[in-house]
Amino acid sequence: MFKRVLVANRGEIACRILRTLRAQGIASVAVYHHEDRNAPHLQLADEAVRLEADVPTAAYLDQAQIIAAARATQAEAIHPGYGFLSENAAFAERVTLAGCTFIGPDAAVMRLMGDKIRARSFAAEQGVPVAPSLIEQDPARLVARAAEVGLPLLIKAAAGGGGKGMRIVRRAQELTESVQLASQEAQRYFGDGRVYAERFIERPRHIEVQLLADGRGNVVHLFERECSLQRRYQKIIEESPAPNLPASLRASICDAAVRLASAARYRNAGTVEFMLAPDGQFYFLEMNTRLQVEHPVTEAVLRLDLVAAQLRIAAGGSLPFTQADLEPRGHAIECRICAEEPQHDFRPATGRIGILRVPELPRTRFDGGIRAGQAVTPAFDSMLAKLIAHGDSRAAAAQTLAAALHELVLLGVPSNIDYLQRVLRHPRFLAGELHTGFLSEHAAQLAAPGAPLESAAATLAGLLADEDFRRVAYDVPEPHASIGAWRN
Amino acid sequence: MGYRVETDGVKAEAQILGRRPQLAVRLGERVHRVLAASAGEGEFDLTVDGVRYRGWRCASGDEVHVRLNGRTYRVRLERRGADQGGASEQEEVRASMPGVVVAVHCASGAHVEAGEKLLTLESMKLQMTVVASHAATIARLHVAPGAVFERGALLVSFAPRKESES
Repeated sequence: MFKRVLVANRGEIACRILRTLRAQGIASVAVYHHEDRNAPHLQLADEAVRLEADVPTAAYLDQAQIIAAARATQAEAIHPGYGFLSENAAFAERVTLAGCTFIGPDAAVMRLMGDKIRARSFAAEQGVPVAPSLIEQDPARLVARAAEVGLPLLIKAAAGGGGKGMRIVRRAQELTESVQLASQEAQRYFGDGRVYAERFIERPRHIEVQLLADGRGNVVHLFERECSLQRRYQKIIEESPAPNLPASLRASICDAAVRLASAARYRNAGTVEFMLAPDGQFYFLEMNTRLQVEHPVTEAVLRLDLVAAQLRIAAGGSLPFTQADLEPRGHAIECRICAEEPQHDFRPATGRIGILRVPELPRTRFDGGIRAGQAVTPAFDSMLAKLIAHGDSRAAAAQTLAAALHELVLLGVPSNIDYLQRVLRHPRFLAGELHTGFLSEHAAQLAAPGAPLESAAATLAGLLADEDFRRVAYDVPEPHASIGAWRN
Repeated sequence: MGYRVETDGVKAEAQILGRRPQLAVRLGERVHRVLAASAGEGEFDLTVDGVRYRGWRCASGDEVHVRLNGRTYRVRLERRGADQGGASEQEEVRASMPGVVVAVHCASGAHVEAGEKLLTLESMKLQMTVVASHAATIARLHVAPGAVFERGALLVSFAPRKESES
């Protein structure tokens, strides 16, 4: 096993990885940009190396500086977390060339899966279903041939992910502009402007399969996660197992994922994402060759540490269990706590975290990378933390998670905490009637209810926080205050 | 002393009516009797009309965020009689959310027609184009491509419209 590992990330995922390193007795190295100099991930690491960059995100994308930091601290391996360099094949190669281990798959597999067009033809070759699509190098030809697949269409970036460069086209006249915008966005995000069009499936579910593979021919699936609750193409609530999924369909989806990873000679933790149509047909979306944000729900139902498994595999070990050993227990739900305003189309919010009180309820887990006093700026992603609950049943997990959100105090920056509680208590959510349009379909009911009785108390609490108001209320000389306007 | 207070978008007038034998505050149409056991930011303990409320509060810009019974309220306080604004409405474009400038399509001093592209902005994963709401001359461009801005930041100022223009 490695003696020292560098974590090339920040926020909650850096903290998450550092906790496992600590538990395993492995020395750890954190990296940070000046803006993160007081961030919690530095406290969890044995040492920290500062990265120089004008723009904070650029620091965590600076391959040369990160590799130099690993060499300077004699770290034997680099864990990329998710986002940033986690799916960058060139980085994986450079890490290896520098004599370090990249905790992830081979660069060749990252390239294959990173190119959505190549990945979907590879999937199709393995007998994994893919949605009807149009693949054209030339945007003009893509527009010209759109009728072959038919509207509505989904325009996606070849190098894409996370909803970037993605657009739904419902009317023919929007096609040219949408293809253009998607291509520009893809060029900016991924340095690759290629886009393709896919049949847009109405009311689909997003189901994904967690895999672990040791690169020695052993591939197991860790069952599925339901990730249908999304806003702006980004997940906010994920769970495992997926509710109301027939056993035979679950088996087919999980088998398809294993088939794909085996054919790719995959190594590392990975996730194969599928779209499930209302008719029960499922289609390959993409494979993510890294740890996912929502991995804790899988860890909860299988009582596993996925980061520990990644470390073991990267160090050359084999899988410590077989498929038959894996039996999910109970149900787990995760929600993403984001600095945003759900009432204003989930626009990102900024501020300073003034008060943070994390709930301590049984069978809950809070994965955060924040602390009181920390500024939340537009420099990084708006996700602040994740709250996960495990229960014997789905209803129990939802209840515990809502209760934990109820207790959570995070003040100073607007967040979606109250919105998430309303989703978790919504009858259609509790019935498991999920699809990717769920949040828009039920938007009216999920909006904040009108001022309840407590609104007056909250207003008074707010008024009394104001020094000037308090002075008038309590400190004014007697005559002035008692005159008032009190008549009753 | 009167206050204008807004809680989660709902506006009300607040007035301190008296403080003996206990603090009486009129909020909208109702008068509440208030006993506060704690002051300032952090945890609070408040009794309103005989009901005890305990929660947390924290100032954030011009708002106070109040956490009470699993719900967060945003309370904005404004003194009554303060300048209501509106007299000289600036002709400008401000950011409705924090983000980054992707592209600039106009220049200081240029004349733009209604609907003409001014800026391409991006906030998190969303890209949007800002267009001129009316024909105008750009007095000043406050941002350049790549600039990061906060919500409410001034992006573009227009020159004042001449009387003769209709």
